[in-house]
Amino acid sequence: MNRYLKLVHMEIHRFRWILIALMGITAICQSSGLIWTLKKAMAQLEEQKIQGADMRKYFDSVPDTLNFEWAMFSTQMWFILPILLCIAVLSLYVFFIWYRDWMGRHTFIYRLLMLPTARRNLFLAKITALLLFVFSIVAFQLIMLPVQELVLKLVVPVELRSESHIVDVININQALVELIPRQFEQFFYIYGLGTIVVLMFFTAILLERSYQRMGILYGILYLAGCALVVAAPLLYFGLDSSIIPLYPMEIYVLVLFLLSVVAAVSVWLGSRLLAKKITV
Amino acid sequence: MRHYWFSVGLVLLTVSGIGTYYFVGNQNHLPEFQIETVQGDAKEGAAVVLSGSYYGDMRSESLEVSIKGSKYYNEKVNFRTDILHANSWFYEDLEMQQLLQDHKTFMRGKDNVNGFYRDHEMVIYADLSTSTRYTNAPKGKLQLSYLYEETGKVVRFKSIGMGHSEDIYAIEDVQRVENEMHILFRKESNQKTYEMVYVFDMKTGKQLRQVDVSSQANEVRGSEVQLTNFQNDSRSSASNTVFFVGSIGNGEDGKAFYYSYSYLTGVLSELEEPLWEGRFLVDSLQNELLYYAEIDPNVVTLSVYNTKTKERKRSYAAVTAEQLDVDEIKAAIIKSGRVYLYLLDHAGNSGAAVLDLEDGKLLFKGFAAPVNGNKLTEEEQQENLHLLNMNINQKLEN
Repeated sequence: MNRYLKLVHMEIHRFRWILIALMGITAICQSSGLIWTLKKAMAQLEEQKIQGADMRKYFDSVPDTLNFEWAMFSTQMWFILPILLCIAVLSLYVFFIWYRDWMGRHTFIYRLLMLPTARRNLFLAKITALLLFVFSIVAFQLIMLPVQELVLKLVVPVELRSESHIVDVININQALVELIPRQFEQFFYIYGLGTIVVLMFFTAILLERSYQRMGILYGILYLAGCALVVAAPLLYFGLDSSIIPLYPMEIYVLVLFLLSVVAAVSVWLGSRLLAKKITV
Repeated sequence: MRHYWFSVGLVLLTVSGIGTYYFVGNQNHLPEFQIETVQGDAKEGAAVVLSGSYYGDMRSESLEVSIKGSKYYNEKVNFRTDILHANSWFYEDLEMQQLLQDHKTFMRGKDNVNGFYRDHEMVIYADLSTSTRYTNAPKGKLQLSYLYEETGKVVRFKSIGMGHSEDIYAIEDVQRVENEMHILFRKESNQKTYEMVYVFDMKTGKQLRQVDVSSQANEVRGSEVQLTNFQNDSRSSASNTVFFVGSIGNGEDGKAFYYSYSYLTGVLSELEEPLWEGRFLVDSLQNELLYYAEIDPNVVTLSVYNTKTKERKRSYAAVTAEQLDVDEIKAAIIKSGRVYLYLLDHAGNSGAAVLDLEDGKLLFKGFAAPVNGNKLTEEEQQENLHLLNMNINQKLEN
């Protein structure tokens, strides 16, 4: 356990500057976008006051009081772009977290594989670290929201602002509403599915590392096989099927079971490849 | 430990950020409502669900309000509920709930409400074998299943070929007449629609004959009549007669003809008098009794027509908006011996009333209101809460 945690820490340590940079870019981009939008809105409010209500242009008009929900709606892209950047970097790092160990003159994987610990800990440490990166960025975004609301309160005078709820603020943003679902149960499903997909890719990468060129084919076939296993209940025994008729609760349990099987097989196969096939 | 400060900090950030949002930030976000009983027995109003939207600052949230409280759409929908509530219309049907409770194994894979028949002896199910009811025969083969309720014996006939390759069939009614099974299909062929009855031998599953009901209507009228089946509310009551409403052309002249078809004789007869009279009606055929309600914003009038004895009781009960002390009666639904009325009170709040179908007696009246403790003024409620539909969700009593 101790060695597994040390490996997790090592993986976090290796990615720390990229993670800090991603969080920094997110904070700067979103906050500056917010301030710019609020300043522009304040100027427009002044202009509207001077012009009077009748002279307002319908599309350009700013509400009489500003709140965080409106600010989020008006700053969509400033929030979405850094989120997309984080998703892109973390998606690439799913591959890089393995391949970086093989890169360079003195390949790091030699040292990792010779550590006096079970090799499956390497696999588990990498997935744990990657999940922690994803969840820490989500948490950072959640913590940034009250901070950004504070920024709004500093920029907009009290008589020109109204309250809004954090759930409304998240729901109005097209990216945040997908990343931070309203219910924790849905959060569990989305990120659980994401975890299983990453486990599948990890195993596919290890297949490639183990069997070289043929390994690419094995990896692709493995991914396709996993996708088919998970999609099968809905495609073939679906909700409206007479082939293998199941009640909705049974389909739900079956989907969860198959996802668990894919996750377990991925961890088992990945660990086995690390232990038996990859040699130093 | 100092060596690990970044990893520990990252874990703390993750747990506190996500944990705080889901356990604190996401709670009590929108006001809660419920249908508050104003008069009568709350049990009678338990099936009423008013649905609509709650208007926020920039966007609205869909919600449903019942006696139990309110449920916002985004609060109840997730991957699990998406799967569990698929075909919810089927599972909400009271007779289907009873069949599922009585014969869960037999009901497996059966989800076409119109394909069921139940009498004192058996349950019959007819369905087309592909995933869609609207399919091209002969690709879509008919499947028949019977369950003898006393013995639990199940008989199945699979892949009974029907009609021609380009015809599209939909099952509308299933009836048992002695040892024959009669299935009413709506058939679409060459861009025309026909009502057809196919008769099968219950012992062998073989098709004995077919009756073109639409042709009989055309012959009587001398021109092409478009028939629409008028369905009985109950599948658990055997009936040898099925009713149709017919129109000529595209029905723009508004003239309708009424027919009855006897499964016993295979003959379609035009009725001498219409099944119902009046405008803005809702109706419900319950065995041989056809109940219909004429809705006016100020009054709802109930009438009943006995399709066997041809006896009609016009306006046997009427309930006015004034009697209900409301501004408007917006809609009505007749279901399971009750008339459900969707109401608007003088302040514009939505509510519902439940009447006894037999005599129009008021059994329940209630209006949507904030749950106790919610800080919402009447003005805010009128401005933000917009309940526009009424549904009846009945649950089987155990």
